[in-house]
Amino acid sequence: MEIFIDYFGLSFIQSQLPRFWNGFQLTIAIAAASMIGAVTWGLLLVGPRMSGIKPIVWPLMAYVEFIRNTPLILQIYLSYFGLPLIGLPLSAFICGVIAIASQHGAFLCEIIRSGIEAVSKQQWEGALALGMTKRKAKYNVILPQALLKVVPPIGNQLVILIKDTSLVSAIGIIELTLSGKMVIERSGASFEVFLFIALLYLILTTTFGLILRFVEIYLRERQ
Amino acid sequence: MFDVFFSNLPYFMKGAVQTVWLALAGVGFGTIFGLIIGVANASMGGGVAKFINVYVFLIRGIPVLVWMFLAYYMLPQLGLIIGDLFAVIGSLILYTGAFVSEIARGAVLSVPKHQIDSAKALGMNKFNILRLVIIPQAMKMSIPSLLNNSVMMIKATAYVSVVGVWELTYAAREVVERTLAAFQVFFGVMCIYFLICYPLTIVASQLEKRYSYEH
Amino acid sequence: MNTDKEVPMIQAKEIHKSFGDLKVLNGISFNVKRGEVIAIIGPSGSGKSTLLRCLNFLEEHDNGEILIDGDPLGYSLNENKTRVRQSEKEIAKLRSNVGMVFQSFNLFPHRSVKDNITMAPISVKKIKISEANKSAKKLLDKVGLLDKIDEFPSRLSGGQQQRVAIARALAMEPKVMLFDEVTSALDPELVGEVLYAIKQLAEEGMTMVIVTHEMQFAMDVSNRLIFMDSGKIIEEGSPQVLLKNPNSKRLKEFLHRFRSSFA
Repeated sequence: MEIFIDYFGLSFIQSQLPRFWNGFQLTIAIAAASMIGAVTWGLLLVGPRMSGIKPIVWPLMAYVEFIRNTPLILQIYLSYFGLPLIGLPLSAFICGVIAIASQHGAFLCEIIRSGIEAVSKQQWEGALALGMTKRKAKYNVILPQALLKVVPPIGNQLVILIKDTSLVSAIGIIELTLSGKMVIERSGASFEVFLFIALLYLILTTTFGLILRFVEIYLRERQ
Repeated sequence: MFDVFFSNLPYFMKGAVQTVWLALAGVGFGTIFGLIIGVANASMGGGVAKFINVYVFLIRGIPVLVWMFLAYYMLPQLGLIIGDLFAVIGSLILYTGAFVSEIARGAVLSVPKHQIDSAKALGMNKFNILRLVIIPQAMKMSIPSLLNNSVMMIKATAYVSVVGVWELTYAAREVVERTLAAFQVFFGVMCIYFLICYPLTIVASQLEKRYSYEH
Repeated sequence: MNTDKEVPMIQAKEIHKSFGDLKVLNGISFNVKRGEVIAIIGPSGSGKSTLLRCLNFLEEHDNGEILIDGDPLGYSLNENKTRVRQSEKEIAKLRSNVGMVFQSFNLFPHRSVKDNITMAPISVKKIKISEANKSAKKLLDKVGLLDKIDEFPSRLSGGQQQRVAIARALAMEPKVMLFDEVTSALDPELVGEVLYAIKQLAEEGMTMVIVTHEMQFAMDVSNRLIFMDSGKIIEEGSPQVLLKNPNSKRLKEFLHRFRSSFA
């Protein structure tokens, strides 16, 4: 075991493990907070977005399109540099979470909307013909079916979210990516450090992907 | 109200040009690269497919920023002194390539089997089937996804600023750190990106609509 | 609600309907008596499905009046004789008295057969779950599918799904049943079981309006036949008379295609 570690220069990495561990934890924290924020935001947006009331729908569409066609890094900068200027001196962590949650929330809103619209019109007709009101039809027939369709794309979007947490390194949050960068620059270490960082991200995204797979299977069984 | 933004506009325009260059190089070559390996993945199978799948898995599981840092630090140490700019373009090409290969692979696999069967019945060999039947249809179908992917990668060019390469986002941050006019500048620069990306998004959704009618 | 036996179950007066520029229903008027079985036949595009869907307000008629058991459907006339759209609740209530079976079954794939049948009675009529389950069993037994009660729709054949759809519609205890080309999407060998279920219902005295292509079936099961073309009723009368001795040119042409299927 020792020979293995020495050969690959991993002893250095081993010595830096506490720093990487802190970064890793912070990445998970940002990801978790952002996911909760994004899902909440997406769910809040869907209702008005599908309401059909033009003065509400049009601004929301504009907002979603604008967010989706501009880089997340700028939204993070806007949040971090801009919010204090309007009297909200929030921590870098919160600014980062706000930016990530609002971008991904906009994406999730569109995903949920597509899922609901994808449930065929004939299901609506079957429910309405039985004398259900639109509301009953929506909750008993349409939304359960939309939920099933929507879980895989939402899962994909959340994996992207995990990767996007690396961007908050630009505003000084010492998550996994910035930990790696700091270690390299302070100790002149070689690039293998980033291979290790990459590996940690891979473990994170793959594990999350597996959890998602289980959730999908569970939901399908429950049906 | 937007005076700071507009007075720095020439500077931002230079940055925008740099962004477009990065996009053309990274996304352009990346797309071509991705199309080739995607088609190879779908049509060859076996060892080639496995290798490509591992490649895609690695790229998609790791943030693009980390790939950029890796290229940035790794290439000089391996003796490849090609400069920061080309290091990040390289990572953009690899990153785009992975996503495009999945798009191409999906498109090739979704060409209806009966078309391939008719071509075989006519006596065409595998290479010609690929060339004349599968690829034209697959490419046509994948254009909306490719456009959406390009938008995603154009947004990714902004991340090279974190590694230290100068382009539009880097310029924006420079100006804000100097003038503190965060809202104007960042919002204005976001609009520039929007003007570049949104037309592509619109074309993609128009084409998508047209294809859903044709089927 | 009307207990006067003389009031027709369905009254349609001068119904007009357009989709954009396309006029689909051009002044349709007819009545359906209690216990009558009406079959509507006609070429594609004649408006027969649209007419049927107007009878439970899945399509909204532009002009004219529709009355179900004496109650106006969709629009009420106020004192000034102007049309006032009914509230969603009122419309839903009227719909619960009209059962509809669709060409594409429209069963809910995410629920079992039993839940498909009990969902509406429980949530709309607030029937107790145990009672709803009992009725569901009875109805499934009637259509011969009691053993499939816990299955999911995707595991059933088309004919079985359609029979479940009939049971589901009957669970709401409707006053009238509408059938929209319910066998058109089925493989030929599955058609018979569905037609048999419908025949049984007719024998029990259910008021029904059936849109169909099955000429023999229309002749066997209906009391009255309506032939539609281009949004108008061209001929109506007893099925035997209409099909053997059609009056109008259009009906003659239409039947020409089916000539070989009757004795």
